[in-house]
Amino acid sequence: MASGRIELVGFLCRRLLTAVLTLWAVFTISFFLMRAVPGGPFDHEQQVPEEIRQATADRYGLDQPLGVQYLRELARTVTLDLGPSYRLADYTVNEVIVEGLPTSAALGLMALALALTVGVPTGLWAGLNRGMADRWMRRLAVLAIATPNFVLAGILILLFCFVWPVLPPAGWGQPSQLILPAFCLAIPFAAYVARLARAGMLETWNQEYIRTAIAKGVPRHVVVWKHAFPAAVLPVVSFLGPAVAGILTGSLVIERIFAIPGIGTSFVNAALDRDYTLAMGLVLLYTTILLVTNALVDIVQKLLDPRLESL
Amino acid sequence: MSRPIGILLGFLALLLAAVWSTLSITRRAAHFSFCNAADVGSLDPAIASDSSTQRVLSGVFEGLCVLHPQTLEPQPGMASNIIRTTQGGWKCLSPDGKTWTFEIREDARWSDNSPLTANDFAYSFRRVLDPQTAAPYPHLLGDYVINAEKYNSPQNLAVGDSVEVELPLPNAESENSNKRGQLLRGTLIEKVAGGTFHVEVDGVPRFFQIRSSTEVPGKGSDSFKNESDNSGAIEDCRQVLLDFHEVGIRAVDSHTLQIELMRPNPAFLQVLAHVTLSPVNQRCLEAHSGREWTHPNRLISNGAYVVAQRRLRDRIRLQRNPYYWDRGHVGCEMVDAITVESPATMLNLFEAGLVDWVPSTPVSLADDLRRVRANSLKAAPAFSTYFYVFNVRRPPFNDIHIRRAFCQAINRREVVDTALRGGQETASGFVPPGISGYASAEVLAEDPTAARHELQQADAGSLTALNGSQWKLLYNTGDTHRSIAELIQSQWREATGIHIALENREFGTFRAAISAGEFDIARSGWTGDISDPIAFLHMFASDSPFNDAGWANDDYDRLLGQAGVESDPVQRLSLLQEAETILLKECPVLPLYHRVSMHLVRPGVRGFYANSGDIHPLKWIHVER
Repeated sequence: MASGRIELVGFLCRRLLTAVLTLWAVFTISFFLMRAVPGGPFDHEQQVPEEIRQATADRYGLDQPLGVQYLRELARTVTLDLGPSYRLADYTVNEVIVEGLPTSAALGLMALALALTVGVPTGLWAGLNRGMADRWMRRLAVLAIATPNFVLAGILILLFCFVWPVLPPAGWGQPSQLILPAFCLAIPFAAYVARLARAGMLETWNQEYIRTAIAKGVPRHVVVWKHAFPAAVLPVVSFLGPAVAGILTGSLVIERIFAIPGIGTSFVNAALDRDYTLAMGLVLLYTTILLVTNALVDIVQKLLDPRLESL
Repeated sequence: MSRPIGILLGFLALLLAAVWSTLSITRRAAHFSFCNAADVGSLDPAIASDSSTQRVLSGVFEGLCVLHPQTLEPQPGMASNIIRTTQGGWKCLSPDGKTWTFEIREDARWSDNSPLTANDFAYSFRRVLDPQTAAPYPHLLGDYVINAEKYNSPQNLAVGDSVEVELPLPNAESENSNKRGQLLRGTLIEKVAGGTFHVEVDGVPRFFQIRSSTEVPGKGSDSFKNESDNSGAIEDCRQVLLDFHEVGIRAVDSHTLQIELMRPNPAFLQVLAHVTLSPVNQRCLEAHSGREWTHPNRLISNGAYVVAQRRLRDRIRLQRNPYYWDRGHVGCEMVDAITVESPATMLNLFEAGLVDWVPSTPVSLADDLRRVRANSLKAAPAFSTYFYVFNVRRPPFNDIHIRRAFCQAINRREVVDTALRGGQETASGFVPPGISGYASAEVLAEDPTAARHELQQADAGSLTALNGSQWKLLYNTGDTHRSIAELIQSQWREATGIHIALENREFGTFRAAISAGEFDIARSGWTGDISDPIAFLHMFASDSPFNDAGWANDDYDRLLGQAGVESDPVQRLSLLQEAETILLKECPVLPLYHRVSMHLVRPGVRGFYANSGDIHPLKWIHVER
């Protein structure tokens, strides 16, 4: 047990070190990529006169050499100050994240919970009961993955807001406004999860230790839950790392259709508007979440399957 | 088994609590709510530029004058003496038509109940003109007010001008402070290369070097100190501007503001109604650094409403301002401006009865809405033109015959009826119709035969260039831009046999290519900020920063210049019309259509009018339930 704890601490330290290096590399690459794209944050539809462009560039230090800008931004970012947003003039990047991330995360968590509660049992069940039901489950899953979000959202809005008006079509503030977007976001994830769980169960069920357990007369539900389940959900757990990072940081399509004040829209708008600081901040945020969830996934996997190589 | 379940339940409870906390269940419904097409850019009126921002700010701030939502006739705002004389002139205007004297109303108050004075306007107007504010519309004052443009463009300072030198802020102040540094007034003796100014202050010649706010203090001046030992040390300063006392904006006393124009302009009151020229509260700004003063609980405003809540990409909630002078006529207790970017979602919210006003409708549904929502639909031609611009800097479109051929080869009616279907009007001229007393010049009519004839007249070199290479029509990503471009492409090919390729770019790269002059034909559009032909015609003056075509015409510039100093309004408009005729004859632009604004407004909403300015001040709107 003690060695396990030391192992964990060592693992976390190694992960932290690679995380810092990864973040720095991501920062550097995205900084220069952003600057390499033509256009700047202050190109508006109605072009601004030169003096104004100059005054703005001066205020944000945009007329300085690229190397100087890079060092200034890096120094500021290290102190966790992501700077002012160029296009959302009244906001700093930190404020944009603080206002938008909880909304996206709340919606994402609901969707994730829904996806797991539907996906895992369905997948396991299909893996255990091959035949008609399994075939239908697979067809349904393919359909759910292939249907774009906005088509699903359109159909659901039509059904539940106009044909049978029980839910509001958009907006944020009441629990009823959470249901449709969470559902739309969850459906493709549930389908993925179900497919992974099914494949995991199929593979596990043919393992020798399962057959041994059945041969020894262990009751079926014990074999399923105690012996097969931990190994069968491993693929789902590995999938969760990137999935959680993606789902927490919001979805542009769903946020647009349902007018949700999340952070997903900022991801796309920041890139399109050349809002350098906001885009950098969001890329760093996404990277951080991804690194954290991947580390968590590795730990959970180790707990589920002690045969895995040491952390 | 009970422990894992307990942990799981605890985790679920936490999750629910977290989700719950992002919703605000207790929120009361507003009395009037509307969809705002985009997030409000900034609550600082000086830098507000888009229509979504102006929609909200029209309720939060009020300038000297406001426009009536139905007639667009100037009405008293913070100035009480905006009253017509019996001869149709204005009481606040001097007989020579150049000096406006505004009386700030006695009961003018800020939302913190402090008095609002003429000094607040002088402060705010100066701030709009200050280059460091980087206001997008300084020309609202610069084009009319004495010396305002010179104040805004310090590069035009000349030797002998009275100047104000703004010294750096004391070290204790943050870089982002909204305070100004100490001001020294003097006379400009010499401008030295490298941003150094030789200024005589109180009879003593001194040297000042502009230090950009991002530079390390003192660093910029080191190299100069050694060279100029004999003429005294070079002092740092933030900027050197024309002395603001030279600008025709003056607070005579706390209730009198005087504005002196370069020449008479009867339309100046409309300019003053622009949201950019709203007053901002100096104490509020200087108490905070950067844009922190725009936070809802800090912002001090003077309009019908105050900002109660603001959440990015969600909504701005406005509450009736208890200290507003005309509070008796403010229709609603609470107004919500909800950010909804997608027109389809706006329509859903409207159809579900959750919002009272939707400012834009899905283009593809315009016909259906006209049929089934006739009682809610309010449409008016907007003061806006959609056009293509030719790059006249390089072949083949430097050839006027080729441009004229392309202009005559298109069918605008087909564009409006098949590619748009939103009830837009085909472009009659470059300046949209609706300005009283102004008859727009005519665009070249559709005439394929004439187009082919023009092509034959074109220079042999340009024709070889035209046929020898692939030319491109550049447009940015957008629903309608593509369908219009495809249609125009086929019309050109049909009438002239010339195939123009289409190139779609995302807005940033699109704009960058146009600024660099790296295009052949590009889509463009313009919405006038004041109801005057000059709002459009100024765009193609040879020195205009908005002249994407690179077109220059001496006669055109001369006519605009003459119109600028012409005091007879009728004569002035005829000069402008002459200029527009040249523009449409030379064809650096190909006007396609004039936009129509389409609003869905719930029956029962009063005080909302469709108008050509697309101006809908929130103050006048109320709801009868």
